[in-house]
Amino acid sequence: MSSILLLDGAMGSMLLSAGLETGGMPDLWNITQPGIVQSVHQAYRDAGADIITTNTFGANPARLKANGLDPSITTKINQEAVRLAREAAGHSQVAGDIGPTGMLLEPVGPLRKEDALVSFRVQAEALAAGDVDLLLLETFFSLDEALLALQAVKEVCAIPVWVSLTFRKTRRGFFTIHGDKPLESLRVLLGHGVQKAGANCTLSSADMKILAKELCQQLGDRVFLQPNAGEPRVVDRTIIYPESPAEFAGNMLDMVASGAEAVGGCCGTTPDHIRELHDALQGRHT
Amino acid sequence: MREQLANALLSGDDIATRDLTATLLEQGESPVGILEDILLPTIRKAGDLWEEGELFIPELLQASAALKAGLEVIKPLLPASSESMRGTIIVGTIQGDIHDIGKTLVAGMLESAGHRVVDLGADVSPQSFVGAAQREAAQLICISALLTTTMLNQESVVTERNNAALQGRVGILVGGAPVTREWADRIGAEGYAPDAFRAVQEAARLLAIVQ
Ligand code: B12
Ligand SMILES: [Zn+2]
Repeated sequence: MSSILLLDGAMGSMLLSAGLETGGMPDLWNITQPGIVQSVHQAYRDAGADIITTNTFGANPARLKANGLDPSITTKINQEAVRLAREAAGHSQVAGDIGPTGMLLEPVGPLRKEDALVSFRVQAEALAAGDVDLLLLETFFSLDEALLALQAVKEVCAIPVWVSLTFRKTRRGFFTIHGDKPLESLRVLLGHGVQKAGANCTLSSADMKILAKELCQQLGDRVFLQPNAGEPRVVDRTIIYPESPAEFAGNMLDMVASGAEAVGGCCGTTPDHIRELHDALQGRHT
Repeated sequence: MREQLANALLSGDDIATRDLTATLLEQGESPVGILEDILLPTIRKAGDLWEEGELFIPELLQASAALKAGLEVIKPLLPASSESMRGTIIVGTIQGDIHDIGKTLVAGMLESAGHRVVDLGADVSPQSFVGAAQREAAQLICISALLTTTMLNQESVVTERNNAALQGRVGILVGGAPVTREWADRIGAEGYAPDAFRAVQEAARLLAIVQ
């Protein structure tokens, strides 16, 4: 048995293949299509994921409102989402997912810090009221907003928190779109008491491997990584994420060799990717 | 002095950009020269620096505001011929897509460059794009898409425009991370630009064609 924690893979792109229309809120399906959401959770559990993530990436009042929905459904969506994940998880842990508001913070954009804090608090409270083992704050594209979310979470509960930022690859290295650097940002987050800090989305597993090396060298087992299955392409009017399960698992195994102790997938990854990775992790010792 | 102005613009210092533009004018530089030799090339460079990882969202938004401050000084002095190159432009993110950071940057840059911009926000249907173009008597529709899936909907705006018999009168300019020149050609959009800064130049090219 390996001591590596295996996170699950994508939910959004799985629901899109199950018929969610482009632009539809995946979070609403916790209420309107609970069976499908739960079957995705089950597929990840069966694939060997140790951590099942709730389908609540956009279920904060600020984003629901931006999508023309009534923000007062936040609590209901999050509670249903935890129930679905918990029922499907079996012996696996459940991570309550919190994503960014999607708005730029003052002074760069229109979102006031107080309003962001309120939005994160409402979601964190709803998730914490359910049976979650940890809170996963993921895909933040500015360190400042991630820190606000972390502050809000800590105000309402004492559940362990993991935070990941999303970095772009440029000629000068990896940065968030706000210019935050990976190593420095993760250090700041760990300094604020998160259990693990990491990188997810935007990057393919091939590119994430490069970033992971740098991060793990300095931060070792505190790092978690959830790359995409490559960059999506259109082939005959359908969207393809190009990395096969074998390719993805191979790259993730390299990250584990670099020292990462928690790995999983983001956009475009499927239960097949997670199963392949699970088997590869088992095979490491034999 | 010219270099100072370029630096002020790139560093997003709107006050210095405004003042240095005014000083250069006093020293006898021509308004068109300042625009075409300093301001526009510099702002194009901002696009390259974003690609390279030198400038980021906060800096890009500031550079856009600085351009606006500089242009406000020279706009009244530009010849009438360049004035007629300004148009009414509809800007929005395509239906199904809520990514609006790049779109807002494009709208800001076009506005800074002196156009009348109608920003429809994000998640805009093809009908709304074309309806707004008719209502506002616009010459150009700018469509942003950040998702490979929603990018496909850009084609519906072209179809909708053609059905409304506006081809040749209303141009279409597409952009967003997954969008390419080839895609623009394939769907019959007249224009494409890789970033908000080059969008200014491309918009000018299209306005010249449709007018
Ligand atoms: C911020 C962000 C979000 C925020 C959006 C906030 C907002 N208000 O916009 C939130 C968190 C809400 C979000 C949600 C989602 N996102 Co998102 N997001 C991003 C991220 C991190 C940055 C995008 C950005 O703003 N870039 C900065 C701007 C300046 O760049 P830009 O938009 O490309 O604009 C430049 C040019 O393209 C050009 N341009 C842009 N528009 C136009 C228009 C014209 C006419 C012209 C000429 C030029 C032009 O000018 C700009 C530069 O000057 C990217 C990943 C990344 N790091 O790039 C993913 C990304 C775009 N998202 C992605 C996905 C999949 C999603 C979700 C589906 C995730 C999910 N499962 O829920 C949802 C989609 C929701 C929806 N229906 O739209 C994918 C898209 C993959 C693909 N190609 O299809 C990306 C690439 C991440 C990934 N997986 O790799 N996201
Ligand atoms: Zn992702």
